[in-house]
Amino acid sequence: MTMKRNEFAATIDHTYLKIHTSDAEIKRVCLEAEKHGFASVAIFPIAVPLAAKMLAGTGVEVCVALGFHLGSYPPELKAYETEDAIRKGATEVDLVMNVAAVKAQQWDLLREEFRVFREAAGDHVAKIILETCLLTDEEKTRACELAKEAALDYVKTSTGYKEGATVPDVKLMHRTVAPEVKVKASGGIRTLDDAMAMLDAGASRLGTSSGVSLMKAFDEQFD
Amino acid sequence: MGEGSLKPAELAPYIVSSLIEADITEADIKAFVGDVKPYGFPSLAVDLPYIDLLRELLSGTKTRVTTVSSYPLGGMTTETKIRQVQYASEHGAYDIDVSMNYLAIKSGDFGAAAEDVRRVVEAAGSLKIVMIPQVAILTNEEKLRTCEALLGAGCRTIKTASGFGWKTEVEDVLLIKRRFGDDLEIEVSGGVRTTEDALAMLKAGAEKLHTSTAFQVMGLDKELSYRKKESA
Repeated sequence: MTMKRNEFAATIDHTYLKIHTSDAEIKRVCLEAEKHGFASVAIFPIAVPLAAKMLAGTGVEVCVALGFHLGSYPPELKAYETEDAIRKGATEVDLVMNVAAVKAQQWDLLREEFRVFREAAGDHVAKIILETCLLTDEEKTRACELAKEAALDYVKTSTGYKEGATVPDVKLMHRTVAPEVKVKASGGIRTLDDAMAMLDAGASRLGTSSGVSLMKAFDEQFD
Repeated sequence: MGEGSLKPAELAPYIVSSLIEADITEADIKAFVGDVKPYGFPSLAVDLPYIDLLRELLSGTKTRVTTVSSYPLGGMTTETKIRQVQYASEHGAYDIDVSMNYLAIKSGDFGAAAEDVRRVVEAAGSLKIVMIPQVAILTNEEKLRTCEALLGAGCRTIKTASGFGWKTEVEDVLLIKRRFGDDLEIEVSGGVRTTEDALAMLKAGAEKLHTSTAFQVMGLDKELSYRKKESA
């Protein structure tokens, strides 16, 4: 895959979802994202106001991680959490899907969750996280179909708190949702080879905490 | 250790048996309650959607329903936690383990951490609030200042950690107990795996022990149905 530096940088959601973080760390991550031209900074809701302030006018999106990381509560609470994050300055919303609903084949509940998520997200980019490592291929496909039906913007592989993205999963998801819905690969993307493999498999966005080292590797390889 | 005065089976009154994971279904909860109900634990802990089901399954027993908010990572805003606490209250949970604002704590802003607790406690009504300081990510000074902040904000009980890899050491319990004595009720979570762990935590001053492996902690040779499914 041939890609310009800025195009590659624009695939990266610069992710900082550690629980032992401080304001100083959030500021650092925001400055890195601005410097490299990453798509967004991906953070917890409590860090949104600070990140929104830091990123105002930079073109870097404020991507918030919702439902982390178990995602196992009712749609009404997820809708509230989404609206609250947007009110505080989030411009993109990544929500963990109710995996238990999939396991129990409660498709109506899942449909309802996706519907209220779309509604609460409004015009903001809405990504639903499947946590693929917990799902069968059939369950991944079904969840992708429902995401497409609900007009969500992205299906995303993983929270990063369990096993991460795999090439076969990204391919399956891309095949199921393209072109209307895009795929975000996340979790375990640490090397340039990992990143390129995910993009080749059909991912449009990469969720990674290794953005800075990926850019360094990109420069070394393509300079 | 051997210095504890309790036998494994006598641990039951101190154990909060929990089943909280992303893929837990109603069927898992039913099997879980079937497994643990006979032991008369003081409380069982489940995620928000299962409060009603658990109350129903436990009706007629003295076992209470515990649930969680902003769990286990603590990234959610005060407003979202309040909404979750209200939900738990409306559905009849007895208590709720709430993650604190670790961003504020790690930034040294104990005022903001306390304000979060104060607003959550205020919204709780009769629902008991148990705050999670997450001791594994804190320095000793931060542990004490965090407990001071939550006590000042009207919370009287902590659950030391959320589990999920964040552990509690016996030294943590001793440190907090030494400073706050009976003003603060300490429930321990994270790393209580064996009978020895449990006895050591109780001896250090813990009043309850949260575990996802209750049978193992009691030294019983059986497994929770969910664990069997997991290892199958």
